[in-house]
Amino acid sequence: MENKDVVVSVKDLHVNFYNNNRCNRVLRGVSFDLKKRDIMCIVGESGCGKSVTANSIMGLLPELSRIESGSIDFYYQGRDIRIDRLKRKGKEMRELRGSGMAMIFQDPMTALNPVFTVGYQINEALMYHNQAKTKKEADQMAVQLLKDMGIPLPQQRVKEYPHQFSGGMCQRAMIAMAMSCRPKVLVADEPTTALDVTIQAQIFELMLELKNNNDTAILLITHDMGVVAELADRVAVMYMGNIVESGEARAILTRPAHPYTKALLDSIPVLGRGKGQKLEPIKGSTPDPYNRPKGCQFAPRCPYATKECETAMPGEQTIEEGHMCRCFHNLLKGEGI
Amino acid sequence: MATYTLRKVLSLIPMMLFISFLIYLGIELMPGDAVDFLIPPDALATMSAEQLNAMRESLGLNDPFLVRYLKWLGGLLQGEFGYSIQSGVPVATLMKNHLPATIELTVTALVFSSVFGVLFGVLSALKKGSLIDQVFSLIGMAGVAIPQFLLGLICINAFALHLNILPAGGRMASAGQSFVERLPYLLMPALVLGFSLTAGVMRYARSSMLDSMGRDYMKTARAKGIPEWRVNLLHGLRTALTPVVVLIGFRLPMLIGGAVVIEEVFQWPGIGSLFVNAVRSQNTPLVMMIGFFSVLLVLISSIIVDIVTAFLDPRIKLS
Ligand SMILES: Nc1ncnc2c1ncn2[C@@H]1O[C@H](COP(=O)(O)OP(=O)(O)O)[C@@H](O)[C@H]1O
Ligand code: SF4
Ligand SMILES: [Mg+2]
Repeated sequence: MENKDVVVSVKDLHVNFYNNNRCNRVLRGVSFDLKKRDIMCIVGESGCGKSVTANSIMGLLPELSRIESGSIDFYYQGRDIRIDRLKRKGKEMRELRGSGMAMIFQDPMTALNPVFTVGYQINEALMYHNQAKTKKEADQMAVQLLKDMGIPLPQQRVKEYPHQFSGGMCQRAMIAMAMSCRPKVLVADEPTTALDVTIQAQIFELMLELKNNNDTAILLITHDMGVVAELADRVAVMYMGNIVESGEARAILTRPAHPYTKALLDSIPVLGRGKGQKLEPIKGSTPDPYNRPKGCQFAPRCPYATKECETAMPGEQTIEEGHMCRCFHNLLKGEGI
Repeated sequence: MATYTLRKVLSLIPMMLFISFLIYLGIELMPGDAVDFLIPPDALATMSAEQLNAMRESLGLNDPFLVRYLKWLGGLLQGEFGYSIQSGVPVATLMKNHLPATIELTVTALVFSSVFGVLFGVLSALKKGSLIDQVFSLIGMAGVAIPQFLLGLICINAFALHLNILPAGGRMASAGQSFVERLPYLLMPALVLGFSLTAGVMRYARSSMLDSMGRDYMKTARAKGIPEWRVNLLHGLRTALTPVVVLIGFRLPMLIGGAVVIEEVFQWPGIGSLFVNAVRSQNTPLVMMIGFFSVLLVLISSIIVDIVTAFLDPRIKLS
């Protein structure tokens, strides 16, 4: 372990999906470290492998997928656990999920089981990870958790069913459930995409609070650069199964090195970049995963592409301290760094 | 819920009036009347028109249609079910004699098909695409495709005639036998009926379970780190069960009239065979009463289904 603050370390992760006898190489060498008390954002257009990355860490990949190579280390209770080697449905993995690492999802309204009360669903996590010994104790803890997540009238709310909650409330309940065992890592897969803007802000507020109070490392997946600007400590930009650029949030937002990152930033208004920003949607669309470009995956859409770009995928290059980029012609080159 | 039930039960009254009228009309519209079936054809030749008319008069068949219906209705309201035209036995007695047999048969078949249908369906869903799934789906198809009477005859042939391990028909060897002694008689008809009912439940349970297994909350449950059996059986099955229970609920009317074919094949002395005979001979009081209770049970079942669904799925409100 290089850094004692690193909680999850993903190295050169390759994940394939086997669908209808076709092999889809979804993750093609993903590496990053997730540190304690950090919010790391993974951004990228949909279909580029963000959720697959998250699910790999949680051991929640679907049956038809396989980790081909690479490693996922989870540093937990003084141990180094190789997540990639655990059986997905095995006992060890199960005991980590929910207690060591937890996850919340995109659509909170469907993520909770409609036929059980919210309290019951929180209790389940508490009881199975021995946080509560009796049902009564679990009930009290569930009430407290809902209260901590800013849900009014928690005593009454625990007895209600998910359909009686609004979307924002559901996500708060989900977070309550996820945080119930004080996990070291919280994976949030587009947790606010289904919610409206004011509710989004509240949920993010809550996540910031959690990270500060519990030292939780948060892996926040989003396709929204605006979210990154507000929350992220570190950013990884994904495109077609690769992290094409990663580094400190400030560096990435102000001095993007990869043409794709720049294109993403140009397509949304960013706070602090001043008024009168010219917004430009990214040209073209992501390629068919079964029919990928030979070289750099972004080449067909990249305004800076040269012949060289079509020969091979550029390797990881550290262009400045803690700033990685995979591009033959990274945009900071000219600046003499 | 109490007010809901009360309102629903009250709404049954006009519905039952209307439907019973329709059944009565149906019998009326059939060619001939009870007298034609009451008298053997050779005796009919020797009887004069007056004699026949006197008979019709005594049975009240000469009254206008509406009067007869109202008379029947009046009787019903006083708890007077009338007499079988054929045998003169009170309809109430006939029902009392035949209903237990039918209920015994259909309850066994319903329980059997519900338990095994859900079990096999869920197993199929959990092991989707495996050998066991394919075997079950094959059995399911057989259950739907093979007519009950054919399967009944095949079974009689095999187990009663060739292997001689089960009786070919009937409900008991002698009056007053205990349930255990009667069990061999019940086994074959109940299993044959149950078999064809299982297929439906199985296919329903399988698709419902598959649907449930693909839902987001299953992933949430897994992400919580609870054991896989609990994810599948608690979160998956519990939610998948609602539509299956509805299907089973709508089979409750079978309890009275549903086993006609099986009762005929196995000479099971139940309501089904009674009903077939009654319709054939235009035995109006008997047809009316069996029809009336069958329809009533259909309507009551739908109320039960509503209540049970609301109980199983908190999103559904009774209104
Ligand atoms: N359940 C699945 N079955 C088949 N292919 C999948 C599945 N989940 C993901 N994939 C493949 O992996 C790619 C990345 O998906 P995903 O990680 O969900 O993207 P996103 O970045 O939008 O979260 C998709 O383009 C798809 O080809
Ligand atoms: S490697 Fe070439 S094609 Fe790829 S992003 Fe860089 S400049 Fe564009
Ligand atoms: Mg996704």
